[in-house]
Amino acid sequence: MTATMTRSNAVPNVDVRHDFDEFYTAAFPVLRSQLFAYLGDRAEAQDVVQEAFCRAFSKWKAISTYQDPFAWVRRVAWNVATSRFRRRRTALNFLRNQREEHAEGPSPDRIVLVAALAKIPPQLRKAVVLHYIGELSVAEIAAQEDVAEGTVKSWLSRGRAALGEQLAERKGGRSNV
Amino acid sequence: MSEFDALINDTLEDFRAAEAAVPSVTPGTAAVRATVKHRRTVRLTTLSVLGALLIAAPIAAFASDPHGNNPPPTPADSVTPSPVESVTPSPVESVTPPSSPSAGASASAPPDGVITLEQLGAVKVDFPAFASGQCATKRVTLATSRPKGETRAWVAKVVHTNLDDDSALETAALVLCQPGEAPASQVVVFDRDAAGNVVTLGQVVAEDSRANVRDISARTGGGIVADVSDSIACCGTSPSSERHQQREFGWDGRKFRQLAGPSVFGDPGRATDLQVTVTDVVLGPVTDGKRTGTAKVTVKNNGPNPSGRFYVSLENCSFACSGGSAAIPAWVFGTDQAPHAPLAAGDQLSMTITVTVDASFTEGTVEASVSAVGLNDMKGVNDPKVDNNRTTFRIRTS
Repeated sequence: MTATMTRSNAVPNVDVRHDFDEFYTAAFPVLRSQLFAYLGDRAEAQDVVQEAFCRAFSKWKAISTYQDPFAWVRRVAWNVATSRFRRRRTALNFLRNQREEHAEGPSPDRIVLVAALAKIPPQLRKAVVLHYIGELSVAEIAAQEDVAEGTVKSWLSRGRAALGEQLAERKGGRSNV
Repeated sequence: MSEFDALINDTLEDFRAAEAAVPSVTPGTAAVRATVKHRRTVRLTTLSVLGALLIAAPIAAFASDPHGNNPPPTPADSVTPSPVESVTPSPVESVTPPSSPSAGASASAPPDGVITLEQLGAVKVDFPAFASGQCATKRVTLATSRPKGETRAWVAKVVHTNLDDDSALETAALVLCQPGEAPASQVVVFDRDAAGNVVTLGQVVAEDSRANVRDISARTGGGIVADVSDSIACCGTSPSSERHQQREFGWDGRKFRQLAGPSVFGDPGRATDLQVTVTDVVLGPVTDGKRTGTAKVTVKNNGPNPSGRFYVSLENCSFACSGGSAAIPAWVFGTDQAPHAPLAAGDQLSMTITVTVDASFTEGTVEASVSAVGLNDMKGVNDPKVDNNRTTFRIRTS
């Protein structure tokens, strides 16, 4: 059995009915990247994703029969992340987290994106991360968040505008593109 | 194409490339199995739910529910609005209470609160921050038409209507912040003080993630009628995909609130206000190296509808929630996969949980959050007041 990632939607393509381990191996990095972009802290993102897999494993007999177990784990991970984020959504926390990340040596490009995302509202950030990093379609985000597709498009429009402003500031001026 | 498209796309591509290069080190499935096994053991041996107490009591608070059933504002002789509270459809961050516009003025000579768009755009004003966090809102001069290429707030429309206790008219302004295609919105009330200066009375209504204020008009008898949509047709969306509602807001003598009209989109039967409270845990004396204490977890349905199935999640402990020196149940009232049966509007339900900790444990905090899903599905039930869905309780020794 081979775990592969489909580039189009970044959903692990494994036979999850039989192999929790392979599902975990394929899905964990995908979710960790999304949650890292959202939370701004790789260690916390890892904790969140691990927690989601713990919940999945405790119910694996049922979840492995779902049509899309990855969607279940993703939703749980985002719920856990949202709960955690509410507790510490201050710029001070974010800056502290970034200093820790910087000490670990992440690339400047990654820091630029994560730092810019941290400055936009959580709901917009979530939509941007799910769409542009998680590669979920508008319809999929609408289903996950239980809102109309038009609402998701509004979030993405605002999120892109806000992200662009932040990136332009961080790259030394407004884009001239 | 936005001016930032290339910048955003390049940065996203850099992020993806950098993430792809990260070594795929994970905690591993062995850790997952160990954690799950430990939790099962802990729950079976150290935690017990002592009992449940059902208290079904109709509450008088329903009569004052902000989604209707309220009389229109009535003129008073001398009281002017000063406190401004959040109103539906969205929870609004607390704002500095506006100054009383007619403080020191004679009650018989209410200030003229009719302010034109041009007059409003000529003075500096303060108003509550947008939910999106964009556009300055303190000591700003509002634009009177959409500014190009700026994240500057602007006024799309003003209407003149009575929005306080005196008989004079005030000015309600639809204020937008529009850095992209879809604007953020709120309705702010302005008045004049005794000296003729423009002052901010407060925020009547702000958008939330599922309700955008699109237009306003004066309401007969005072207040405003807001045209609210669940989405904004942008980015290729057909305007026909928008759902619109007319919601009426006004001053009720104490605060701005919704007076009439629907308060949520979708099935109104899938919307209710759940509230969770938890008492602090005061730990008892050490017995066999452990301390125990109890907490009463109460979920109350403030109405107006049955709650749907619900559960309370205990999380975000200031210490290790399970394992280590303490163990806290993950769920109360069922679980996220097996929620508790619905609560009728006005009812509440309490459950006492017992917490057992090591003797070395001193104190900590835990968050409790209540969630509700449908009777026959796992989709969330709308809650117009999310602030009371979550609370923090303490575990302490005395």
